[in-house]
Amino acid sequence: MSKKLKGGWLETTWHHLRRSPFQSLAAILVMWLNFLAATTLLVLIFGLSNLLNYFEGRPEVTAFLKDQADQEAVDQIRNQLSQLEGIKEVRYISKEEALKIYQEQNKDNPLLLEMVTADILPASLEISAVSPEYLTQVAEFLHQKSDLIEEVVFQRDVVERLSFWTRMIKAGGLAIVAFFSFVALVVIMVIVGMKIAMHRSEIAILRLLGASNFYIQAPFLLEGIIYGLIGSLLGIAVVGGLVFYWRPQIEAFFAPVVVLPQNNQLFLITILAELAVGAFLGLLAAWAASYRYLRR
Amino acid sequence: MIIRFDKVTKRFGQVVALENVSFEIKQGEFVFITGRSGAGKTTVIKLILAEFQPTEGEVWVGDYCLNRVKKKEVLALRRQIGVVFQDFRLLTNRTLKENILLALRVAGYRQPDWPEKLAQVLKLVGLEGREEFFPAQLSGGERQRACLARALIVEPKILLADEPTGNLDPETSWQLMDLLTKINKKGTTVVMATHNFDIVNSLRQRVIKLEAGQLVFDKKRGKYE
Ligand SMILES: Nc1ncnc2c1ncn2[C@@H]1O[C@H](COP(=O)(O)OP(=O)(O)OP(=O)(O)O)[C@@H](O)[C@H]1O
Ligand SMILES: [Mg+2]
Repeated sequence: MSKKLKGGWLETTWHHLRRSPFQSLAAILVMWLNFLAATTLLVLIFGLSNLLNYFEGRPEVTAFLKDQADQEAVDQIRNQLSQLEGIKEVRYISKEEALKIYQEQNKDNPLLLEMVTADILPASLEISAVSPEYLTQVAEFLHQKSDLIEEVVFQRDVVERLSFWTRMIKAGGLAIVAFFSFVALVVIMVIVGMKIAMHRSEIAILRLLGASNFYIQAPFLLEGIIYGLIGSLLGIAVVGGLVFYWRPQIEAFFAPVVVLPQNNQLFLITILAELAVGAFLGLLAAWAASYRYLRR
Repeated sequence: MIIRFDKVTKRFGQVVALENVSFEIKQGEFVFITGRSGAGKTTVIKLILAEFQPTEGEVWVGDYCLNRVKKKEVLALRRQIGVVFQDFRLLTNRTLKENILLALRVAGYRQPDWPEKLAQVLKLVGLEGREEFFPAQLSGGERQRACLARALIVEPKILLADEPTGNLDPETSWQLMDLLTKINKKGTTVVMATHNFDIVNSLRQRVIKLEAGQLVFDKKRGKYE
């Protein structure tokens, strides 16, 4: 919208904003908080569902071996496992390999590296199946070998835990965002209401000049939209900035799972959608406030 | 547009501001409304603007009976009426220029036409060079002329002026009257509330005199009596 807008609304809105900067700041702050929460939630949900997809797509069991299990016994188990139906691969990870993986994962943390030697890390078997239903028999089989096997970790358990947390974060996050949205709505309603009250005499004059309701309302609606846009933009910028700043670390930590969006289009769409929601919230609040004051 | 009051009574609680007043003003007329303070002059003007409705009787402007007009129609009507308010009603936080252009905006004029109209009307009321002043920086008379400029810039069919010479020295008052006469000659109805008997007596236009809310006379070439 240009300054040459027919009604000069942007100009009027600018007057309003400048005349009470602290109220405008408060309105922008609540919107900012709201979108800080919303954007964080979006990032979390995106990451979690990617994690979930990753693990769901991999029917795997990890069996950690007791230290007394010798090579022969282990080979025997591997052979027996491979002969079960629906098994794709059985991979042996020795203590040394486990240490290598550990070192790779924690290469930025010398303290953690110092404390760990190959001795403490257990060797393990990674069994992957064609699909999850074949894992039951694997479990039964491994149970019988409890003399050699310390612990069995099912990806299924991981998946269950992940999906539980995803659900919790979705529900809790939505509740928080809904609450913040409500607070933002009320605060902006009050602030726009105050501004309308401040401009009572101006509004009365406009009425006598024959200005329509919409003409009078427009600058206030625009004000609400501006609060929504600036607040959401700042919220997105802060969370987005942090995520971008730590992107290498985050990606390394979760590798090989891809927890951050890889294509810019998705980013753009998310940002635009959030801006639209912000603008809409501001508009809604301003409209509610002005409707009450202006339409009798 | 014809203005017609038909047995109009306006009461504010116990106060009777107008009582059973009837008159008709044709398009292009010049009418003084006179009477002492509190006689009901401003009330007549506000009724024409539909700021409020009569308690009894009917007020007509053009094809509209203001007793039963839609809000939208009132607004459309107001855009064709210019008003110089007794208390100016300028926006205090806007410059003179912005105040005057406000009327054009509200009336929906195209922006390219604004500068020319603004220059014309500023010259007409003699406020050239004061565009960027705020109302508080203008003298009482200048504010009055600013208010007149705002009323005139939309080329209204009807000009209502409530005590427009109240804050002016005699010389400036006469300049303003010349202006109103000029505008009236171009076909604009001018309704002017005043108790400046000098002006009323010299111009010899139609005079409607009110006394305590009642119409005491309505003369073609009247005097202030
Ligand atoms: N909104 C109102 N509420 C109550 N009483 C009012 C209102 N407006 C006007 N009155 C009363 O109506 C009467 C007529 O007022 P009005 O303003 O029409 O007088 P006027 O002729 O314009 O006087 P002046 O020359 O002082 O401007 C007065 O007694 C005034 O007190
Ligand atoms: Mg008066």
